[in-house]
Amino acid sequence: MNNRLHILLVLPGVLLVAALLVAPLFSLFLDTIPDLEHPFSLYEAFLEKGFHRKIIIRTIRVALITTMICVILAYPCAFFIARYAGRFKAVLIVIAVFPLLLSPVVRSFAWMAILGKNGFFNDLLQFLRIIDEPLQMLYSEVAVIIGLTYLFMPLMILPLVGVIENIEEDLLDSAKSLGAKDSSVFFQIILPLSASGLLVGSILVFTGSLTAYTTPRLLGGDQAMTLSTLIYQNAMTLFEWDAASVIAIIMIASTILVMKIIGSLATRMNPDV
Amino acid sequence: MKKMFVFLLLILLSLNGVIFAKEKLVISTWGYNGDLLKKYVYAPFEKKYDVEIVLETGNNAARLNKLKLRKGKGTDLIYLASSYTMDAIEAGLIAKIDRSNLPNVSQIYQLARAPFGNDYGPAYTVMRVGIIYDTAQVSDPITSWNDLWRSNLAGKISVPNITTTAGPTIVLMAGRHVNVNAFNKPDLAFKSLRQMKNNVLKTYNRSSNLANMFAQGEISAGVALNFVMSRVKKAVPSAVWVDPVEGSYASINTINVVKGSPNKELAEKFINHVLSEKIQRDIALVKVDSPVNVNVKLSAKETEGLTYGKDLIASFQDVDWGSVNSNKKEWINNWNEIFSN
Repeated sequence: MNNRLHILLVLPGVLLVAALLVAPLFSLFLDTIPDLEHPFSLYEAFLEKGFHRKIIIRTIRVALITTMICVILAYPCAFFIARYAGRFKAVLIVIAVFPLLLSPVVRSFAWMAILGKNGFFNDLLQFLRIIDEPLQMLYSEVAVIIGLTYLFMPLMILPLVGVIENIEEDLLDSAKSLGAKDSSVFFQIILPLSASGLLVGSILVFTGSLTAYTTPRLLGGDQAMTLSTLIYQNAMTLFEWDAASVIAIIMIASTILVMKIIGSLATRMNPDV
Repeated sequence: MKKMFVFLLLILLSLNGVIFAKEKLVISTWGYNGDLLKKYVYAPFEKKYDVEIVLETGNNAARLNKLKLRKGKGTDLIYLASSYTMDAIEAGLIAKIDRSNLPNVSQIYQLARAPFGNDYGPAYTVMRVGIIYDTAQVSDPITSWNDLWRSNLAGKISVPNITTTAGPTIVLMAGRHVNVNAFNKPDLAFKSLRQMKNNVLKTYNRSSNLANMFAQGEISAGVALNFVMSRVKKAVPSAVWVDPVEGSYASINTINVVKGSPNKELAEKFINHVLSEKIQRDIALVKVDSPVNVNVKLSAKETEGLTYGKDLIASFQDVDWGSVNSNKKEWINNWNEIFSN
């Protein structure tokens, strides 16, 4: 295949991405620059407000915590699925991706029924006489993190299953036969060799959590307001499209920054990533 | 031959759709109670005028925003709450109405006839903002707006978010709590609201959210529009409605013809249809909207959960929606600083 044919084959995709992704993003960015004398005045005005800064920090914090919990919980699941050789492997994968098959609204309402004052969790704790009065769990940051972890866990499990499947069993056996403890096998062999899956999963979970709208809106209280709910308020209620664009650019910049950090951590674990 | 016959039949059927397509009336409205509105309001109109009604649903802000972005194109009629109606008029999206096509306006309450002047559409329903509380959870009866500041209600109440229809009345109520007019002294009104914050578990954006919070035992009291009461009562039978002693705040919903609508006359006939005694009565009996037609007579049982009767309507505190709109941006910022901080 010659070079010209290569270019011709790639061209439609490149044009499509340029027209539907790059151009709108660039136009969005231009909307946030009122004039060249004070190009960042809208950003300054936005960041001047203390509660805007709090919302940015909260959104990034929720996304990071969700990503970390997903990493911790997804590894054992992914390892089990990857090493399972029985005939129910496909069933296990379907179970793992099940949260993605439900509507976000249904999923959030299910969590409302579980975490509510009259919900399953409080009933259980009261039945076990651990608490006398029901705990207030809904409409908090914790409820949002629980909802997001449940939602995005499959996005962490699937890439990890892919990379763990490719780790040779012999490699792990050799390490163990040479006296390596299970923890050493995990940190020195499995973790570095699965760094590429970890990187993909972390980026997907972090980006998804940062931009999630329905889950924070339904499970979070007013004090769990996130950037996506703030965008909605500015665009749909105040008709302040400039402010909404500023928030969108801040979200994109935060995502790129955190992706870079996660990428460099993954490279440190395994320079081949 | 058989294939050819089927093919020709399909062409004829599709042509039938093109040639004999019914006139369409596109109505922008809220999504709730759609089945009841279809049965009691839209279907009779479709039958009478041989027209097809197409609905665009969503909350006030989302629908008005869409209309602004499309510069009014593609929609014939829009249902809106007061403050959003004013916003739509100011944005030049509303057509001037021909009142000769609305003879039923003479049968409705004075406050509903021309809330934004004779050029614009009437209100088809009137609501009030009051308090709902669960008598099984709250032992001291709630009778006044001031009770919402009681310390024994900490974390137990919900109020409508400022971006909803009834939201701005919370700021007015907070001002009233410290005897100031929120338009003149917003700082004091918001300071008073900050004092209530500890009692507010969560503000809500949809009436269904409020009903859910009551049903799950998350809250014991809430500020709401009266139409929410029937939904809450179904979930929590011990819930009661309170018209605070200081008076409830009135809220009206309007119907207007969108500027540039190609079906203006038909749209005006629709407004007239909605104001008719029969439709107002039918829709009141299924507790969807409170009637504004004075000829609608209902029994005490039938008026449960509705805003009905001259005396009640006369007792309402008027809300200056023009001032609400001009302060909206600042108020939303102040609100966010209190509740999202």
